[in-house]
Amino acid sequence: MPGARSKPAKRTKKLLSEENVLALGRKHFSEDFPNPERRGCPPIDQIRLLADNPRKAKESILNHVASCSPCYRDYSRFLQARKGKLRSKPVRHK
Amino acid sequence: MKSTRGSSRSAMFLLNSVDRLGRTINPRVLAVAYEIGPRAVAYGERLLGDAALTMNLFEESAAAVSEALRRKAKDARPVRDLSAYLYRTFLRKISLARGKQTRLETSLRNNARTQFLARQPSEAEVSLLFDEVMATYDKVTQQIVYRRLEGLSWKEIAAEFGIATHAAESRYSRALANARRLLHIRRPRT
Repeated sequence: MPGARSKPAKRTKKLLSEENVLALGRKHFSEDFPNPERRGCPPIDQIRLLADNPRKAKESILNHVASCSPCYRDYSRFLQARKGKLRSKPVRHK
Repeated sequence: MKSTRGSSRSAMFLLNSVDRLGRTINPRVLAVAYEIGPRAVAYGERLLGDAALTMNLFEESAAAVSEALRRKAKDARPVRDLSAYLYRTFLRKISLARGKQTRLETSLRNNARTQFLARQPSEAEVSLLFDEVMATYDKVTQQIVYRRLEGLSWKEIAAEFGIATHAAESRYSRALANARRLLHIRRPRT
């Protein structure tokens, strides 16, 4: 109808779900600590060990990963590979 | 327009001969207003909790009654009890003001509640949350959090550390809950 007021659009606020929190956490560790010169970075084998054998990992490596985005990205890559390996294992039937 | 506030009849109760809208108050009404004013204004102030607003409303009532008197004089309809008429007008104005106050308070309360419920942790808060966990928890909990960030299931995480699934889940939840409490961050809606 001419001149009639249109219905105001509903205000919908996007809620932050647990998945979004995890995504933000991932983004934080992989982007917020740039270290282009890779100062103080441990050898890549140590990061791979952290992903493949967490119980044998050194605490110093873990502390470094928490504050170095390039190392976190390496760690994330190894963890993704580990995840793929774990999921591709054949299921044993009794 | 000359104000009568400086030359009042009572040292305690002072009225203007003009209300805040610039309408004059009939001398007859002003005289009645001085009579019933102290008690009426005290009562209104108790209801509204604002002395200045109550006084303004009383002066407005007196001005409105003065206008009504003028209209009634033209129609030759006299007002029988002027003080009761003024008091009723004042009570009606007090009631309207109270209604407005209540609606405003309810609206503000609802708005505040909605904003609080809708508030979600920001990106910066989430970053702080994970930094807090990494700075305060042991290496097993830290690695559980990293693995969860990378999308490993609780079963997979538990198997890596040789612990029960619920133990892995519980370590993660406790770490995040404690960090949230420390940083006063609300839990996100799931």
